[in-house]
Amino acid sequence: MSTLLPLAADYIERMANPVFGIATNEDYAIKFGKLLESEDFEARLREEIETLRDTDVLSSHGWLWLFDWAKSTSVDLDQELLLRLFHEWASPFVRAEIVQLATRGFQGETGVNDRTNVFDFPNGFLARIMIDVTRPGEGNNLERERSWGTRAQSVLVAFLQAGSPIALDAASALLRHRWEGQRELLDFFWVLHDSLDPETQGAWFDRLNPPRRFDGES
Amino acid sequence: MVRESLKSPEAFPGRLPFPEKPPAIAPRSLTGYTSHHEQPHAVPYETAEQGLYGVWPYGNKLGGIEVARSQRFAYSPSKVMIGHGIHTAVEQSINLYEDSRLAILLDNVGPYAIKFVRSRWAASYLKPARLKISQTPALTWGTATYVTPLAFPLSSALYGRIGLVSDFDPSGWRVFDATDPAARMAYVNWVRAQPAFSDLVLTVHSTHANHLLRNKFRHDFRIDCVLFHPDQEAEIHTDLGQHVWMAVTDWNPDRSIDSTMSTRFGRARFTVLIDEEFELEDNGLPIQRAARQIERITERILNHHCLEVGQARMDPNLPATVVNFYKNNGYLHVYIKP
Repeated sequence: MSTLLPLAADYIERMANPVFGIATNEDYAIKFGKLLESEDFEARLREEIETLRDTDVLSSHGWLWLFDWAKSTSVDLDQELLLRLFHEWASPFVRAEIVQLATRGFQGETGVNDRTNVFDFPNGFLARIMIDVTRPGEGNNLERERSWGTRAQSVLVAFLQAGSPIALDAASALLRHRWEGQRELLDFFWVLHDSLDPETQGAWFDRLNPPRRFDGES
Repeated sequence: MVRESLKSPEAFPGRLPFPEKPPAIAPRSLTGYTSHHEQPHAVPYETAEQGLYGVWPYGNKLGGIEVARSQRFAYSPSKVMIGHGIHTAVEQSINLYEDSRLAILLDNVGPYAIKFVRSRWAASYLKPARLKISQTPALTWGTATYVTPLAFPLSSALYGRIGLVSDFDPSGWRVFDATDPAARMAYVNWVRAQPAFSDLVLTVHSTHANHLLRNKFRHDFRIDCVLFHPDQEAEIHTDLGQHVWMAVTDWNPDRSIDSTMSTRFGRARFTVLIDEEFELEDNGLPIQRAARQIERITERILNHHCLEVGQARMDPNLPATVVNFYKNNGYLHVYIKP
């Protein structure tokens, strides 16, 4: 049962939420920084954060602060927790942060590999996201299919924005994965691609090796 | 340092060794990059720094633009998703400290910086201590330590009455000079090429999105210091066009951006006390130009007198003195003797 973090949550909110203004943010950041300099406080906080499972314990601003702090202090957050946060968040920028946090230290081989698919993807965290977002639907509910398309697009953008080799591999695998929403996802990808300058388009094409437009073939 | 609502959208410890020659490794194993075309992509070095630096393998051409052979660039896997022109424009806006505007700014006074904080922190910095790295999304260039070169000692007095001064070692820093319009445009073009750019401009997440993008930019290009013109002004104390502020990165061992306490500004000490107050907000929004709260009034009162606070406490005539100033439209400045 977490006890320290709920107490710290108020401090964290005041230093991370811009609605309180720069002066308050900075003031509480120094105050919290001084608290963290006490070894006991930091050790207890780390311990609580590593066992954290509840996504409601912090506000959005608080989570963003925690992601930064986890990176700075090499604290590992629970993968299930990160997965739930990934699904709860709408912003691809924040999702990209979660992907980076969940896959940091990934040691496996990376690179464009046409044979890698979402089911045997070398990173379990990213594989679960991809499998979930492309899972076949029940019945022929048009609205649900639309929602799939949007969800898959959002996942794709988050992977691309994360930009790490394993995240880009996941983006590539997602684009090549054959499922009901692939065509819609590819349509979206090519619209995104076409909005870029020609050199960046080339870089994306080289790195992702996407299927050609509309036909689902590489 | 302005919040998003008003302003348009946002270290390595010292120099890293740069390997003499590229080792024979397959780029794919390190970066996952495999080119399908003959393009001059970076070949990463497998160094102790985990391949974060690289060289261009095709002479001294970088996207058709001449660059010095000796110029390092920082390698980051995510840069494989950026066109060479955008990449090159950013790299050209980054100078090693020794060739940067920062070196010129520090030339006369030396490598010292100042940060103003609220009075309550004076005691914490009676002895040298580390500055807190700022994380609030409200700040201009992301998670960093925001300081001002001592060439502009009162420029950031807007933020508090206590000036904390620290020395620092900028040797080998990669400095991005955002006071240069070309550099700012290089950043904007980089932002436009981000996969989630449309979410930045079409959703309500812009404050955090910009914060995270600026962190990503500084991370991907290994920028140790961003120079920028102030975007908030303390009346008379700040010159928006001339003064330069700094956002300095501390790096974690895994090369992500540190958000805890600054090691680069690790010997900050309470050094300046200023008799002035400024408002930071105006109706809930960050203030653009903050008026002096005290001097604006005192300069209009001709009849005044200074009294050291220790003397004032002991002075049996203090009540009478105050009454006298009251009756004669004057004021008494009770000051702290250094």
